[in-house]
Amino acid sequence: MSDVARNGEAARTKDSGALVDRLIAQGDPYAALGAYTHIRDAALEELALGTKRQRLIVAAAPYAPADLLARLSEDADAALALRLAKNPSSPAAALARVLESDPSARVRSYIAAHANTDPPLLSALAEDEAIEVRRAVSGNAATPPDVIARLSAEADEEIARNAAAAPQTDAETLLHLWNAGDIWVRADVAEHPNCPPEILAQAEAADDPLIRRKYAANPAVEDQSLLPLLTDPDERVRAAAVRNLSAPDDRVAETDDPSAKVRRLFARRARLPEPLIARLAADPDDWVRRWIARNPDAPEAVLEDLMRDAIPAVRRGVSRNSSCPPHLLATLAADAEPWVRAGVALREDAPEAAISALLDDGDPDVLGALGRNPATPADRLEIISRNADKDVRRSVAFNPAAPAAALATLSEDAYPLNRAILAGRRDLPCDLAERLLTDPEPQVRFAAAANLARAAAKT
Amino acid sequence: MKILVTVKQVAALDDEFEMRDDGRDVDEDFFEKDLNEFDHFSVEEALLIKEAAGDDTEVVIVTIGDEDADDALRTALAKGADRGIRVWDDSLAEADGIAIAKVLAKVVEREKPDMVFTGAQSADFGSAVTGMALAGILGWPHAAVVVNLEYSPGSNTATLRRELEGGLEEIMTIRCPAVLSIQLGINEPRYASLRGIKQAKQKQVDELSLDDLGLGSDGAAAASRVRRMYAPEKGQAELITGSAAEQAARLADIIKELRGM
Repeated sequence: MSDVARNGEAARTKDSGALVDRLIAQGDPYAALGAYTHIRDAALEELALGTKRQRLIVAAAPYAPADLLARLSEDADAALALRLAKNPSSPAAALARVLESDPSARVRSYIAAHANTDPPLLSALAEDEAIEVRRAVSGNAATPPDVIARLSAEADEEIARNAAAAPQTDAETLLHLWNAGDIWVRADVAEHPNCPPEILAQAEAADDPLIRRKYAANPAVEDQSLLPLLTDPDERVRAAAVRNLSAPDDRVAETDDPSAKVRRLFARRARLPEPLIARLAADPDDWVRRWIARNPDAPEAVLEDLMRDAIPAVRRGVSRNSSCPPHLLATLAADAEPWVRAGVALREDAPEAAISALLDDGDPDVLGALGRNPATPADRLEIISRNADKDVRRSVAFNPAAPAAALATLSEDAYPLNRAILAGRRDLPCDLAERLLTDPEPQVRFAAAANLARAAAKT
Repeated sequence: MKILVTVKQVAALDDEFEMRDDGRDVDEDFFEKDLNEFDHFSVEEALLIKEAAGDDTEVVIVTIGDEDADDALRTALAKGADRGIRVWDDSLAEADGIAIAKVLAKVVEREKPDMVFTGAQSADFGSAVTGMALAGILGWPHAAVVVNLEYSPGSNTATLRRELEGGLEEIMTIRCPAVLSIQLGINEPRYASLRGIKQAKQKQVDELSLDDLGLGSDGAAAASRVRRMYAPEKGQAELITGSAAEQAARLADIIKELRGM
């Protein structure tokens, strides 16, 4: 028994004790595992890890509690060690313990790449005899800068690329990589926020468009340096500069890029000058118009024009625009295209008349959107929860305003995923959670038990 | 009117698995068991025919397996099949498709169905032989990889469409009774309702032995035997760089390594 489990057992409340007793009597390892996420109990632990098959499943499960994974690491054989090393939820202590068992180079590589591995352990793994382990260390975001610097001295292309892309790499190491690396390494150095000024100057004037593009994407480069790149002969360089501009203000008002790809990126940006918005709203490329239609800075007059666009996806963009005024939403609710009406049906802020106009819509996209919308009347949500289409029914399981009757209907839904999503709702009534404890699907029982355990642990 | 549907409990492997000590199969700690994906479609096809025809049509599910296989059987029953048959004998533990077909043929002789559906293949072994062998033993017509079926209970023939190589399809009329191997995508299999799952626990399942079917333990002998199962080593590629002389030297080293020199 782990220490956490022993401590948890001592602190067990009467209600959680009753739940544990019930789950033990039920003998279901999945429900036991779900409950263990909130109630650390030795009997639950024993049930959840009762067979070798169960231990293998838990060791590989990203949803398994960290201390249960740590418990498994105490006597892990090779199969368990591999799963623990690959599991993104394994805590640092479990990974360290697995490493103590002298695992294979493959397992050491997983530990070296793991986000939870402690920096001192990464430092030790940087001395590993296997090159794949050292490569994994060089790509780990938790590796200390001095270790990255040490690894960068190796003449290995993969380590050099990992080091050049690692956010913690220092300027001195980047300078070394720029001088020693190939074109791809230099490109990553040019994009690095810690890139020293002398390299940035070289990258800005580089002949190779790859280097200029990466320079244009560097978050440390200021707008004043990015603006000249908007006239670069290479469209990918211009595109990177558009993405990276912190404030595309009046200085870009006259921009009229010949590339639709670049104009699309402009259309997605916030705080665009109004003349540019107007010009992009009339762009011949419909993807440019789609992005402007979704742009919250687009003025009402522009949205009104785009609302009449021949392309349904543009009109859909207007319906999903958070700045779209209610009277435009009311008009779009009568659009001939169901995908556009569905955009309105998703809006919690849509006027009541617009929602009412959609209630008798038979299209599955519209019904699914209404099912998710907390503004949809409760009696309609009950009807949608009984729809013939399983995907339409599922939308109600996501709705925080779903009435109890609709939730009860969903608890008997034939489609297992709908019951699983319902079982994960934090506001699930206890009687439904208890009903779902005997569901045929393991993931439903897991979520239902976790739900009940969360409530019991609070009492 | 009766449709017999054969189903199989198959193994779904974990990403990482280990072999059994005898090296002839995967260690069962490393896989889950589930109803064969193809069988969801053959069960659904039978249920659609039953629902179109009315209550006079009976859908019988048959599987060969130990008690674990009950889960697959009950899954099919929960969808709406009427009753089940499970056949088991320890001598079937290493049965191949031919041995399974011999047992199924005896079940068909006993049940006398008007039509037999099998999945096009099993998801774990993928031999696609059981339906074909069953038809051969029975002397019944057979069609494989069926993607569309027009059949009315009681009719002497069925019209079907089946997949061929090269993207071709074939429309054929087949004499009934027949054995049809059903392909994925022929329909949209239903999910069993919770009520159906509860009801399935009460439905009749006949547990038969080889003796019950008039087969001795050697009456369903396998025609083949697994000698070894293993994960083949992945191939490796190496880009040889350097001057012509360096490349030639490296190539010579590789040849020596491969020849064990």
